[in-house]
Amino acid sequence: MKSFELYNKGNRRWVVFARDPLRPNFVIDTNQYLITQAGKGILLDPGGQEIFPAFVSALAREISLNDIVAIFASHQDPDIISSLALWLDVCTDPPVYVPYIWRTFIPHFGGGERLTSIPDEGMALPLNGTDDLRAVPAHYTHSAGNFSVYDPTAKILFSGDIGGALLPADFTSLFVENFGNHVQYMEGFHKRWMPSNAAKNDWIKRVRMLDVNMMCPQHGAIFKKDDVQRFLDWFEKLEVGSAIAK
Amino acid sequence: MGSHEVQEVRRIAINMNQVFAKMAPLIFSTRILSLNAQIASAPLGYAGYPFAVVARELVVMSAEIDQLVTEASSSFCVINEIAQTVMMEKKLNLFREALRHELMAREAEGRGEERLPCGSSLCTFIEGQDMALSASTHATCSACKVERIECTLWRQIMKLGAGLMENLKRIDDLSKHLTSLVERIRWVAARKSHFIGVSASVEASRFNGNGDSIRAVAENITLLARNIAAMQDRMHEAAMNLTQRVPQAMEQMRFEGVNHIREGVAA
Ligand SMILES: [Fe+2]
Ligand SMILES: [Fe+2]
Repeated sequence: MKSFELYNKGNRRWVVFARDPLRPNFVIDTNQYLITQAGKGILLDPGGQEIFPAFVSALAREISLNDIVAIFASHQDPDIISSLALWLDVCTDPPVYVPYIWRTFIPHFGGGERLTSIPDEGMALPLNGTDDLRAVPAHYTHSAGNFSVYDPTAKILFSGDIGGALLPADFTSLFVENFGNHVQYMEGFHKRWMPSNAAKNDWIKRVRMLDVNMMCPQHGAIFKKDDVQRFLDWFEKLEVGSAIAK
Repeated sequence: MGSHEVQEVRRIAINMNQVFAKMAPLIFSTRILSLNAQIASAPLGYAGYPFAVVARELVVMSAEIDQLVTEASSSFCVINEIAQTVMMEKKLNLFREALRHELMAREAEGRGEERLPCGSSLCTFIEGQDMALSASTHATCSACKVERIECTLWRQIMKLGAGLMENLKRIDDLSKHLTSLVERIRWVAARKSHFIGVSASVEASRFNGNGDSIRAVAENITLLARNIAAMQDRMHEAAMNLTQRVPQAMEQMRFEGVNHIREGVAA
């Protein structure tokens, strides 16, 4: 698994772990993110069990496991957090932030009583003395209890499954390069996985109020400034919930 | 990956549990049969007395087997232990895989020959006897991040490996206990059921004409005795298999960890 630095200024750093050439084909490709503040880090959606071996080795090249001070799970899906028990074995007691509605579901992957609930309205995620990182409500997109993470310092939004794309094998770029061309990889995913137009529009409204330079989804390619706006416009017009017969 | 022997132990234990489950209806049939035998012998009065005695023996035997099987089934937390090995093994394999990734990455970075701060290579480090202890020593080394991740992973591998061994040890104890119980069931079932079956036919043969129902019951008793004997044979086989396999599985566990890492280094 490869790592790419997305932001590095002052004490704040963003690294994405993605594009693993050895990833087994039977699991969906995922991006894992690390935010550090003066050397201490939070993992955003550390992923499934199957990718743990590759990820933990790649991560150790960026940060000591002892310096992972928090884990964040945007929602309850296996591709998000089924590796939890393994992380808790190798990290030193980090708090694990999860949407409160999944508080008793996620322990089926591990973590027992030690999970910290994020209330529906979201909360600040403390990181090494800072509290600017925010869990932004993204409920029903697609999970019933779901959060994005906004970093006002780096102006980066971690959008979880929103903005996700199922990329063909020959798509190697880390970033969206041609939005028009990228739509084909996102459309089916958003129409089918996202259940609610009202929820989708609520999230768009929230994000429009933020200053976002980069939007980082958990699947597919990362959006840079103008493409973030293009994405929001495109997503606003999209009818989701396609599995319900009209 | 997955260790073949541990999987085999799992398969045998599950199989054995099924054999126990199949004993229950047999015991139930024994009760019904002895009831039938008593009903059939009642109208014959004094002449039917020996047959009634045989029927009562049947009840006693079924109660005895029932008790032993119940004891065996309740001591059969082997399945529980086995379920735990499934989970531990999955985790163990993921940590081994992580260590393999780590070694591959190092190789790719041209640092395959890199030494640990103590001067040993990862290979000799792993072959050392007190691996958990060395891992914790190195974990405190702040010189290099790479060493720390190896040590962290290795410590988990050691911990899970030790847990798995403990687990297998418990399975070993349980399987020995089980084997002795199965031996007793075997004794009761094989000797007594055969004896009862034969006695029933002998007693039944003394009645002519009005002995039809008794003969039918006697035939059923013989058949049942044979079934019980067959069942206890399967039980015995499974128990013997289990006691033989567990030490092999433990042995394989001991070696697999080190070998897997060696292969990783060699690859
Ligand atoms: Fe999801
Ligand atoms: Fe996902």
